[in-house]
Amino acid sequence: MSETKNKQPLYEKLEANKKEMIDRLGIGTTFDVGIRSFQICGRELQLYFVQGLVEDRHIIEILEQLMRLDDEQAPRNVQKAVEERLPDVQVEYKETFEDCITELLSGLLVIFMEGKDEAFIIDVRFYPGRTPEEPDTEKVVRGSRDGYTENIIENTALTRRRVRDERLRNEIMRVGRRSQTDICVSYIDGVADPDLVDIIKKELEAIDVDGLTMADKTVEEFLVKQGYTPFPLVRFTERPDAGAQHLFEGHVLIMVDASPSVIITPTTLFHHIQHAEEHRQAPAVGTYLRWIRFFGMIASLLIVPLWLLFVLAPDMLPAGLEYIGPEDEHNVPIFVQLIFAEVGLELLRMAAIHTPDPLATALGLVAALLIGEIAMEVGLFSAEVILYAALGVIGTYATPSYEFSVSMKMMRLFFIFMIGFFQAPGFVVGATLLFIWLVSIKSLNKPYLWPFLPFDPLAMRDLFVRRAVPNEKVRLRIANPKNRVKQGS
Amino acid sequence: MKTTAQALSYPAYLAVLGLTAGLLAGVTGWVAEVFSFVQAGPAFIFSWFTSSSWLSTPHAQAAAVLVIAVLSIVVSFIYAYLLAFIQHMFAGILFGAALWLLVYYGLNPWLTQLHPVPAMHPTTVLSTLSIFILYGLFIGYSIIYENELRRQQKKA
Repeated sequence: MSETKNKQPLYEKLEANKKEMIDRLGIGTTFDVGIRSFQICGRELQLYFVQGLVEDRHIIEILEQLMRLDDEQAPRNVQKAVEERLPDVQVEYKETFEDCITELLSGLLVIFMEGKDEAFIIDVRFYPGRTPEEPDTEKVVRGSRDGYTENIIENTALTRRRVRDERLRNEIMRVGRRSQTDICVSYIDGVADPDLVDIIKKELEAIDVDGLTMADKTVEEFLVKQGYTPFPLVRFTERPDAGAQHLFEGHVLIMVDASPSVIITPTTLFHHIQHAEEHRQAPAVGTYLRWIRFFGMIASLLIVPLWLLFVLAPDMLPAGLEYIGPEDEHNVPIFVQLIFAEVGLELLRMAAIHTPDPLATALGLVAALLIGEIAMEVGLFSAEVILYAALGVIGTYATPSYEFSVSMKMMRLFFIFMIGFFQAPGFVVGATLLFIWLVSIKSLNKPYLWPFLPFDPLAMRDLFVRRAVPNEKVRLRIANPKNRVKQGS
Repeated sequence: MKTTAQALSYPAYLAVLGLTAGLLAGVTGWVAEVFSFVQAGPAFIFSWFTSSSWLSTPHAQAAAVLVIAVLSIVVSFIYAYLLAFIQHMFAGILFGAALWLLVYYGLNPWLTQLHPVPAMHPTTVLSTLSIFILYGLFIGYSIIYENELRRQQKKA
């Protein structure tokens, strides 16, 4: 309602309103927008609704209430009587066609009244959707099993269940010229960095696009100016407990309607390698899990390229490790074998995603038996190539963030190519340049490798040691929280 | 309000930063020596005084890592008070490269374990240069960012 300049106000004449609505919405051509006209105390009313987005029972109840008005003595002020009879929590008024249509298409009920240039808007929405389920990508052994859904209202409610702070702010806005998608920015006032919230809101308002069908991903690309960086610059979560935890830490959540993934920002690389499971276990166990995971991820990134390097330059191996390297005769160069293995595994993974369950067993058989066994027997693959490629894949799967694991695979392939072409100098130069690139990445003005570089000793300690919650007294500086002390007011 | 709760004082920060940078660089150099990326491990710094076979023992390498870590505290203070006015991460990279030139060209004649740079293996040259560059970047960029954070905090 803030900018009514370019919007067309409603007419007082009901017929004119109806004509305009039919013109704009193509009622009659499109079947899912309906009109219902009826008379109450001599005044004509028109109901507009979108089938499938409204709850029929609710509308019938409203109609019943209004029609009962007709049986009684004619009230002096029909409009007021109608308004009082609407059995609903939220009744709003809109004065322009644009606002009415947006609300109508969101599933709200729009009621026009003869002789009135305002419309009643009643929330009778009922979106088709699922109930909260445990997200597939972030399972824990213990802990809450609810997950965000495709419904933004349910998502804010799931968060609010965990954050009853009066200062939790859920700011909603509509983005997308044609899709008019709801986006909600959630943060705790007084904890989150107000500059960051401003930047995010400004960036979101500046999004000019037809629709956000890929929801959170599209928003991410606008928000952090991703370009061709393969690394994920925001963290997604489908777990309300993870979302609430980040709110307490001073982060900002961005929820996009029709997507169960919620954006957590600001994010660094190290947000992608932590998992809710660590926080559900004893601090010592959590720390242990974290170390194993770090080790697995580093191994997954480096073990294949380094093995290739030592195959190509065996004289680099220190005494005692000379056994590394393929024993068997191979017809295809190891470098080419590794490329085949990496590409093949990636193809298998992609195939597995959209293979229906009944066929998945067959796919697994093909993958394990034919490609593994037979390729080795005919001398296409060395046994060790399969071993190391598999090790690399396991490390990738142990990465909590799917987006990050895919970018790690790309980095591994990059290293394999650098070593295949230039051997040791290629590896050294490649690793250095990659590292400098990572350091130079900034997501919403936060350095990507923080707290490692720029170095923050206290945050680094928290990263390597999962501490007991009572000992976590300060919020990490990455979110630039306004109030650094936890439990403070 | 205790906004500075648990935060390190500035000198303490510089000390921890330098120590960490030295440890990381030293250990990386050591690992690089084990896997023949570089010809001489961190113990080359002791070749100033001695050229005994002790230099190639793990003890010498470990001691060298510790010495480098302590020396790095000085480096970090020097950077913070002399060079931190250049607020760009590439200053750190250039600083690292300059440090490499100083050690591998300037001090080379005294460090008997080091070959003259032209006689070095290209992998050694690239690896040592990379370690020095990342070392400089680590110290330089951290200090720039820390200064920026502290400025913001003072303003708030």
